[in-house]
Amino acid sequence: MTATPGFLDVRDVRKAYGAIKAVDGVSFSVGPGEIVGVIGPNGSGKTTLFNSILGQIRPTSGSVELCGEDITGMSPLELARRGVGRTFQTLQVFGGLSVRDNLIAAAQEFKGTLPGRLFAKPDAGLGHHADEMIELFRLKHVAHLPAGRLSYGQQKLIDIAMAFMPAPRLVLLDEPCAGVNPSLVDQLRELLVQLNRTQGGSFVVIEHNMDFIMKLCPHVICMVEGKVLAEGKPAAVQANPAVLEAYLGN
Amino acid sequence: MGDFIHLLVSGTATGAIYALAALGFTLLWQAAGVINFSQGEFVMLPAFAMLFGISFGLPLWLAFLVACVLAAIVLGLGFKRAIADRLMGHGVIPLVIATLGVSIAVKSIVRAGYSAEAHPVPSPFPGGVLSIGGINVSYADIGTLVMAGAIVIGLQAFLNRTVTGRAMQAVAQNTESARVLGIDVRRMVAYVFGINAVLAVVTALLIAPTYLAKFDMGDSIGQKAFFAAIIGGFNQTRGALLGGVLIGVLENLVGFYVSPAYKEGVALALFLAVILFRPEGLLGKAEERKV
Repeated sequence: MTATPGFLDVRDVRKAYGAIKAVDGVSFSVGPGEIVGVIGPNGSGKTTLFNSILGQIRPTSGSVELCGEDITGMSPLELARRGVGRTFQTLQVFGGLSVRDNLIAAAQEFKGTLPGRLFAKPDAGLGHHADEMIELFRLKHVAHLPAGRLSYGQQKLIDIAMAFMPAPRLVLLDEPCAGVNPSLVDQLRELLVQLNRTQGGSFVVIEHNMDFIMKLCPHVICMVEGKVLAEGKPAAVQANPAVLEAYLGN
Repeated sequence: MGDFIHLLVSGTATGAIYALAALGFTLLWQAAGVINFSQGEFVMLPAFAMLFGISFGLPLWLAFLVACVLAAIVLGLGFKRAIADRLMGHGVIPLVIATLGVSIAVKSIVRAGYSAEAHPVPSPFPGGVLSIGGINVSYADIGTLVMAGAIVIGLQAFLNRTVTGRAMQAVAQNTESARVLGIDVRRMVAYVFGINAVLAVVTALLIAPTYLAKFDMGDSIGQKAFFAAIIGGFNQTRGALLGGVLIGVLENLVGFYVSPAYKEGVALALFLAVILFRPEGLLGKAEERKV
């Protein structure tokens, strides 16, 4: 359990599909500004847990609280309005929009009234912030190109930048390193550390790249077969014999 | 040569009308995954609504505006809530069947409840022709082109240059991501249904003076708009415009140079050729679908 419970509290969350228990009684807390890593072999229920927290699916039982408010089963729209963002394993950019427009679209719904949005300036007053993010993610040279035309790695960076555009209080990142050139992984980690420092949000990160997660996250949870097998400091989890067995077998 | 240019202009004007209705098909498909086979009746009903308004002494422009508001409410939001919302998420087939049912029901109600006769509708444009260098172009064709062009340019500007337009594009391109990013997907989809209804009223205003207001006037326009959307690419608004204009121009050329008997077959022939050799449409993109 992490040091400051009460920001995000996941309590005994279960999600079953018939007899299959995809998530089986998972509890953990994330403190303000904390970065928590979630690891586990394929099929261990990490993404189902994310989807249960984020309203994509309703958990069979258990609760999720954000700052003391029960957000269990809330729609992604309601969660977004409460400052919760996410990225997906697969790319979710708007391929026909430019990189800059993707970033503006990611934050524009939080600005102004309905009539204001109908007739607002095209950049919704977010152009400057979008340019800052483009600079931060080193996407300036492709800022005005349609996102769908860029490389997978560049689209992945856009995806992550979009999640941070509205300055969310909580971001759940699902395999941010998947498909990213290994030479960019360190850059991505530094970006996340910088965003954590400047925006102050809490992050929960699912990742298979152990080096990435061990360096990024002060607290790690290992899931196996829908349950929390181990949690604690990265080195302790990595050295845990049960975790090694889950990954490597006997 | 004069005949050819005349045919080209009047064909483009007719095609622009098909394109407006086809645009509704593509917008609904992109934003909500809905194929509306009652699109023709969405054009027929406003034609009668305008006639009704005129019979109460309203000028055509005011009857048109009233029809736009009514259509946005009844054919836009009403259709969305009563039919589309209940069937979206259950695949395409239930919606296709439901909208075919709406088409049959609306036609039957208008025929039995109002009239089976064709009713003349006044044109918003003056009669007569404009002669330029020996080529005669009717004011109706010029007016149709200008109005359809203005609607298309206005719609593109709205989609590309406003905050709401960008949100609608985002929903059309990736609904799940838009939802997670806090875009109100339901509201954006409602806007699209409203826009489709207003496009249908504009189509009715432009086509009813020629086709006359009749319970089955939507059969032809609905079918050609669907063909136009498929020919141009169902997932591309630009495709709907190209498909509509192609059908309009080729219908005119075939009707004049080959035989008027083949005119009505042009859209079907083009549709079959595209389905066989380029199923994604001339400007469309192949789509992945979960099965």
